[in-house]
Amino acid sequence: MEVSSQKFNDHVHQAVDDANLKGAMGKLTGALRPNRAKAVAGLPEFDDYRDHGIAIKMHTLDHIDKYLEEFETNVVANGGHVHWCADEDSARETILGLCRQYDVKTVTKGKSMVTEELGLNAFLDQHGILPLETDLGEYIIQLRGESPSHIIAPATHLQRHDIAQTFRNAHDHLDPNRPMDTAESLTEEARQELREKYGAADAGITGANFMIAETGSTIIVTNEGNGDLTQTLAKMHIVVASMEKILPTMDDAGVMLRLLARSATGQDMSVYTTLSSGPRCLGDLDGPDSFHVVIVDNGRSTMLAGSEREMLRCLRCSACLNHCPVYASIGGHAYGWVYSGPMGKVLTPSLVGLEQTKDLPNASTFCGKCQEVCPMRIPLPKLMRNLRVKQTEQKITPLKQRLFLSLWSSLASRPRLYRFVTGIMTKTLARMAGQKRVFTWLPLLSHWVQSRDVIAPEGGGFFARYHASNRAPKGEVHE
Amino acid sequence: MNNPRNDRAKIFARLKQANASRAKTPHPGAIAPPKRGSLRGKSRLDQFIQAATAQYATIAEVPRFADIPASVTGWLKGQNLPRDLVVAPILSTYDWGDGNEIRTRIGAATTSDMVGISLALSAAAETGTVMMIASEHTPTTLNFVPDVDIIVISKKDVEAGLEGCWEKLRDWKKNNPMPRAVNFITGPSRTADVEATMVLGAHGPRRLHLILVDEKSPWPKSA
Amino acid sequence: MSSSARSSRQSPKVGLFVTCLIDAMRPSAGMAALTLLEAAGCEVVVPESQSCCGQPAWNSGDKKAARAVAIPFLESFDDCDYVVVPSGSCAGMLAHQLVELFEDAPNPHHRQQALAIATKSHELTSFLVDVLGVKSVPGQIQGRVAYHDSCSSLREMQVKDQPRQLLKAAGAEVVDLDQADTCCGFGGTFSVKYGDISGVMVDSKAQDVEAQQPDLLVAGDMGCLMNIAGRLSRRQSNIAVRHVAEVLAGEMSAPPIGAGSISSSPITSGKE
Repeated sequence: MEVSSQKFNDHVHQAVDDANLKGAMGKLTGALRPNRAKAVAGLPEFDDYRDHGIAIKMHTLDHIDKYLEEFETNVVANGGHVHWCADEDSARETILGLCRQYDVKTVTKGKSMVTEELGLNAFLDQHGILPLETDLGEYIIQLRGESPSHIIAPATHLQRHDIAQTFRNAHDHLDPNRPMDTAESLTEEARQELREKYGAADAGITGANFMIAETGSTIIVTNEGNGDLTQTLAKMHIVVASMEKILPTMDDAGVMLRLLARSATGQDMSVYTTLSSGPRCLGDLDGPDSFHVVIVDNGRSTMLAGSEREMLRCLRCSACLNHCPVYASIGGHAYGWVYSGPMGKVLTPSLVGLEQTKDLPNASTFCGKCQEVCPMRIPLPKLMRNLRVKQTEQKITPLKQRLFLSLWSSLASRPRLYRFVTGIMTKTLARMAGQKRVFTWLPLLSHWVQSRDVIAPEGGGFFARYHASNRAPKGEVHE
Repeated sequence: MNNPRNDRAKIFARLKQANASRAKTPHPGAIAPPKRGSLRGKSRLDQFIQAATAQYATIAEVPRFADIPASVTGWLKGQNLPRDLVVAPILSTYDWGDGNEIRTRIGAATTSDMVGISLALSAAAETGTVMMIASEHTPTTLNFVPDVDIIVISKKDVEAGLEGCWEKLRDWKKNNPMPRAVNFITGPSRTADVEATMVLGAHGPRRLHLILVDEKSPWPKSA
Repeated sequence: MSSSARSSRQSPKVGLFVTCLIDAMRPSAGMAALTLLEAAGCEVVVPESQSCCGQPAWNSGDKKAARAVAIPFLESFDDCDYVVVPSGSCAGMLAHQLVELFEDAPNPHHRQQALAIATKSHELTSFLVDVLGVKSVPGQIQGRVAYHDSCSSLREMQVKDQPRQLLKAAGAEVVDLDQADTCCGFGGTFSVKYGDISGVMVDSKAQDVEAQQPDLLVAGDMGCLMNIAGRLSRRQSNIAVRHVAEVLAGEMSAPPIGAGSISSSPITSGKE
């Protein structure tokens, strides 16, 4: 998918004034924050499961090649195929190759963020293969030509009336006066539109929340049923999975499953949790004739080797998005790529490079709420800071900022000089502000004063007051 | 293999390199199931019923598998649902009548089927979840295509939590291939993609009806 | 007024880390911190070779600049039992981040010093309650006092109940904000680099404060206070804002932070 993170500030500027987006974000956070809290409270052992899950993931990453090999062996034993793709070009070519080989003209898709990374839909379309999204949120944004704004609720930036308008335009074969003002009527309409499409598709493409080495299975965790219809009714089932999704055993998956739905939507278990392990078996009355798992690296091995390794624990639950005050203020599109919110601020630069994503690691107050709700306790603020350090080292940070920090640090590293200078500055400002005690404008602070007054300093600094007060210990001067 | 650019060797080289000089952490082993995933006896069954109901499934209980046709017929009548049913092969051996009260077809489901019935291999009481497997006895489409999904489960097959379900699956694999699909199902399909408002009946079934049977299930012996 | 000579082991020796924001913006809050510590029986020193904990540079990714700023104070607290900081975020920097900052520093001595400081650094109110077991404070106050939790206090330093306990001990009716654990949008340089987003966040926080109609808003972090008071002022809200140390120490003669009117506040203090 095209990266537009370079336009972060422009996007933000639009987003903060978007009342429609604000309403939509309010509904998202208003539902998902209390839901998660309730679900977590319903499992007293939740923190133990987090610790255990983290240990499983870190062990798995340490031995990732071994587990991926075991996975492949078992998929092949089940009658399936595994394809290895180092980068997005390879992944796209591989999937196209499969479609050509099996004479695929139409494809149904379950929700998969990795396929968004690959820009798969546009690519297949260019090559004469029509991919049809079936997850409700993905279906809506496909009709609108938009990218997902949330990793599990892709159309979360839209309100009901937006979706109704989209359906009105796209489903012009239906009665224009039909009721479209409820979530129920809109869902029903999508259901009916897609009903026959699953069986008509030559291939069904799904993603993977996890892969299990023990059984050669990929897992999807869903609620709508479209992912299951996609993989069951098409002639070929293609799974696109990034390689860090691998887990050793079913029981390990069970540990993650106790964390995932709770953290995502506040459900103890999603409606459908499905293990797919191969093509239809002898005697089966339904199911695809072939099963292909396309395993994608696309930057993960670099993260494994580097300081972003901990990010590979991510379960894609979206808890960090749902609790982030920055995400709630600007929505997912502002981040400019597939992954938004706190996890996107680390993953996007890690996968597409720091040059195009300058703002992402910086647009955070490090409030730490993301880390607090992350089921895998990923230290997101620390990882963002690491990226900021890299930006400084690679001189990607704007010159103005680097100079300012240099200047400030040469002053602040000389405490006496620093106090002398700041003493004068603050006294001056205090005098200027006088009785008002605030400034409604100051040079260099235009971004602050657009929404806030600047508090005037009391003036003179602490030490002057301290010494004048005679409260310093006599005879001792601490350097 | 039809990957034109088989990157397997490349990827594995990268992975080995990335992990080369790292201390390896051990697998932490198993973690005890949570309290709520460890109930036994009657509390376990009560929990299963309560949890499934909370996720919008409806429940019926019958003593024997032979009672299922009557139970289903009565339920469909009472719910004003069409009495046309597609039946999983493993449930077809019971007496579904002569086509008067209820019409049945055996096999996989198509989009013309309004009601389907199948048999679960296992269930997890902790979350009110049933575990379905793709097999010659139980086609997967029965669980996803019809508007109404009826799933039968023997009370003896209800485990405390997922842990028991994995064991059941391992047991099954001793004498059978790994099922193409294993579906854990908790309630009817739903979505919250529109304004974070939950709507029941998305793309999968609109309704899930569970029939709990006292008797042992007719699954062929694994051992 | 002057501190007594260093006497028995009973009197913990505390190094006060004033913080650059209190030094620049509100020295009276630093003096109030001093009062609180002395009232609790500490012998307090304020080493001169401190200016800033280095957090602005550290959070901007400039390790070199951050280290340069931190090195002057690294050994200043060597003979102190504790380092106490009237700021959750600066305390967090000393207690948790300093060690990471100096992890790969060229001079191993700095690493050791950072570790020494880390193990004895505390936020002010949590030091008083958790370490000294303080149950009463010099200040007295009536009325509804809303307490704003800074993110670092809450998540890095486990400060939540302690300031509330002390405020109650001072006589206040402590009021909580609805979205108490949501960030106010300061985040240091974030507030000027991403002013749009910061503005949305602080407005949300300001409305949350106004909804409680408190007589006074307090917090333990100067950055948050400047941010929220700045927005309240822009919204022409009359809610008075102070650093929690001022209230607890009973040193409220300085005008409140920002434009909140003193006379409109029914808050009284037992000590001027």
